[in-house]
Amino acid sequence: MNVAEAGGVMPARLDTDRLVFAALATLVLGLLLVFVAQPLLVVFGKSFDAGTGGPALANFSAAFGAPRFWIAVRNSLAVSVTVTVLSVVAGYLFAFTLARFQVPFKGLLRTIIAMPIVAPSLVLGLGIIFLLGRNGVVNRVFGLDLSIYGFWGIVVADALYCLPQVVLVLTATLAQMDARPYEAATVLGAGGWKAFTSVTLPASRFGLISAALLAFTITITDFGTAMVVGGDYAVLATEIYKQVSGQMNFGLGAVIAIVLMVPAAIAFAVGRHLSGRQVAAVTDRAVRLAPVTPGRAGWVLYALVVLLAAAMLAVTATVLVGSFVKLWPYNFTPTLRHYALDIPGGFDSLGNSAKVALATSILGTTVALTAALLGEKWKHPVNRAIHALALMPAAVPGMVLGLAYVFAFNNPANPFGFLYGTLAIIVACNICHYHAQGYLTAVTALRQVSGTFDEASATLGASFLQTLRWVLWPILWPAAASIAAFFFMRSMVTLSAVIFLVTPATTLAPVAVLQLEDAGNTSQAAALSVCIIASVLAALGLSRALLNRVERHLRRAQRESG
Amino acid sequence: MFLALKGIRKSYGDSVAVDDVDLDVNEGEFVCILGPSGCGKTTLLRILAGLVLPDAGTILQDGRDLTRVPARHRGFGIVFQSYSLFPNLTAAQNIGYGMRVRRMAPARIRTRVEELLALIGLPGSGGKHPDELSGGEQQRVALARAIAVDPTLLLLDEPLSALDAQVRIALRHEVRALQQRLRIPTLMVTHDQDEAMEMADRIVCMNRGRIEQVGTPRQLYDTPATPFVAGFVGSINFLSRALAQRLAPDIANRPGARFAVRPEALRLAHPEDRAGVIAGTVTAQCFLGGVLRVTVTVHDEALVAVAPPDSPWLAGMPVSVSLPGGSALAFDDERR
Repeated sequence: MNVAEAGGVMPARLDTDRLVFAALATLVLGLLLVFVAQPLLVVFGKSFDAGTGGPALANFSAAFGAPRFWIAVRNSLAVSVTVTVLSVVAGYLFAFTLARFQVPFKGLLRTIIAMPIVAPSLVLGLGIIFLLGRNGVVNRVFGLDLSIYGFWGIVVADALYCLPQVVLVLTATLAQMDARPYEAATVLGAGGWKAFTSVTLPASRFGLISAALLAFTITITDFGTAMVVGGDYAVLATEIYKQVSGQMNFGLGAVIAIVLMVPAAIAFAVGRHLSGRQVAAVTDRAVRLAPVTPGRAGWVLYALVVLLAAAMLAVTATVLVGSFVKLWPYNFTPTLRHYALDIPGGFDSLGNSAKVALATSILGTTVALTAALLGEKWKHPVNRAIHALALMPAAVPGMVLGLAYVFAFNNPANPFGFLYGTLAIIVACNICHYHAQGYLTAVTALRQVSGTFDEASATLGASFLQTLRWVLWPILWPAAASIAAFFFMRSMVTLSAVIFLVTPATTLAPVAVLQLEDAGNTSQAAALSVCIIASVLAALGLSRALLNRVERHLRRAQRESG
Repeated sequence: MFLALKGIRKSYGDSVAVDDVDLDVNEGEFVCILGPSGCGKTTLLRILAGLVLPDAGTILQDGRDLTRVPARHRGFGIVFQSYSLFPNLTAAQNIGYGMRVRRMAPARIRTRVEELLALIGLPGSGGKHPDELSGGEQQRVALARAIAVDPTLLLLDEPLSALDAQVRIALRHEVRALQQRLRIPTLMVTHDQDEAMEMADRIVCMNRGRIEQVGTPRQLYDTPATPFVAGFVGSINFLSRALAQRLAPDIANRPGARFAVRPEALRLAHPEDRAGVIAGTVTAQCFLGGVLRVTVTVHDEALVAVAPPDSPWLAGMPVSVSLPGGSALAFDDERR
């Protein structure tokens, strides 16, 4: 091999890497400006636009002067605080018991508790109606006339809906916990309860705060549950919808949207701050806490956990059963007739949802990965703007985002206005809605890949694109696959943002569920919900199988060529 | 002269990592940059590799200005402390990576990879992934990957630090032998003075971003330019002026200087054996295999000396200390 060919002394070429980075940054920044920054600016502008040329704060004074508004604020806070307390206590009980004790059926219990993740939030509302509603099993069997609609309906449904995500956060916290202080406390004579209150509980405080913020944000911004089981109990999320969809009062809707952003933004900021501290608290010397055989107290905790899982199973399984019987709860003859979905947009809505979810999954993963790659691999000041815009949607509730999209794109003056009323705008909105989580996952995955790989590759003469193709992508694709699965799952079940963007031609499955339920057709609503859940599970199963095959294939190909 | 660095400077915020460094590397030469952690040696290597842009200064290779040429156009080979083999590729694919980037024919890549695998003593291991290789094997593969594309300069960033002691010593010889065979100019960064002494043609001793001294291992050991070099390369006893005057009267009269003496330059004897030497007391002794390290206290000053391993010195014994060659070191400045 001669030296010139081997690149010993190469002539200085135009640096293509810088061109590639600049082009990618322009593209990503452009997308973020059009689909994140623009709608949010417009919704802010709208809140100051009373439409009559009146004073700029007319919308605010109108909203703050209306008793209805303050009732919604009070109700939202009451529901959110109650759900936060319930779900964090229950979630900690669950996570702690499974992490600390050697108890049977851990996998099964985790699966049951995780079920709401693959379903739209209103499915739990449906389950609660089947069980405790006016024509629910409980009222029917015991001949009672309990009404679950309102505060308690929302609380129970949202607490169950938050539970899997709270459990996820707390399980991660407990898994990172260092066994050594616990052992030290035991050696010093601390008993189980004393060790728990002096070591375990303080060590999990960051996790508890994160989980509480998560539950609070989910609840205060959740729309589906409140629509289904809220009855006349007005909360902020439903109030936006009623102001905008029912009364065409856009300015007032925008004001409520801004108000709704405050707790979400605070929760997001505190959460980001805490996650930094949490990581710093973990050292590589920590010893994993091993589960122990439970004593009497342990078994009591376990019994509570089983009870919790039973409640979750009852609510979700009821929806499944309810969709297969003639007339819940009067006639339990099995039937498939609710699956005919012979209503306008029945199966079409499912098809639309699948299309949207697939497109969101592919495009969203591409954008999130590209933004993360730019931030981590290209040292340039413009990355700060990309980073801020990439994270911003995390602080924006879905209802607010949907409204922002309506204001921004349902406007003939907007050059992107042609997207309004298409599935494409829904895809864009979904990508925006879930981009922050996808982006953060990508950043974390990239940071786990040692930077010396890029450096080694670059000194061997590779361009950024070659390094990406031959080194980074083969290491990163499992993370990319999990980001894609996340985008798909969320897009299939989301309701809050897209409720403002669907048209009769572009309706989505969760929206159709809501409409069916609203029309009193609870059984068909349940059937469509089951279809959504089945699609999500099928897609997850399919992608898992596909990934396994690809991985096996890659390994084999590598061995053969090696 | 093959490579020349002139006035290289780099700071991160307020801290200066590399402060006005000039350095030459000749054809076929093995140069070690030696210094404690945080002395700026790794930053200097990364600037040379093109992974870090210097704030000031120029890098010339055969008269061509490399300062702003991106890493991938420099044609250097680099080996990292952490091996940094691509985990998704086999050993053979790792070694062939640079050739693949240069779009060489697969058949030629295969032949060259086989040659290199034989060269590093791992024939037949080409199909293994990095996680199936030991640390020493991974570092050999990383070395083969770096030299596969005939680099004009080989950069080694603490390549042996992550390895076990025995593997480390074996690889010192291998790397040095390979470098001499291929005659690739090489720059290695290390904090290990033994490694630098054993492998380098020339050592560049760095401290706080500056070069303290450049020279052959022997020059650095015998005539250290600064107290820092004296203390970092080999062990040393710093002496008070009073003690230096008694041990080596001829050099101790220099004004404003610091004095030092290597342990092996001191001779220990029983007090009754010779007259006219300094009396002291053995305070500690430590058996190190080939030698006995003896700590002697003279007028409240502790001196370390070495003696044959079968010497009779025990703590508390009286001893006389002399400096037969008069080979004390004197430094002009007061820096340590």
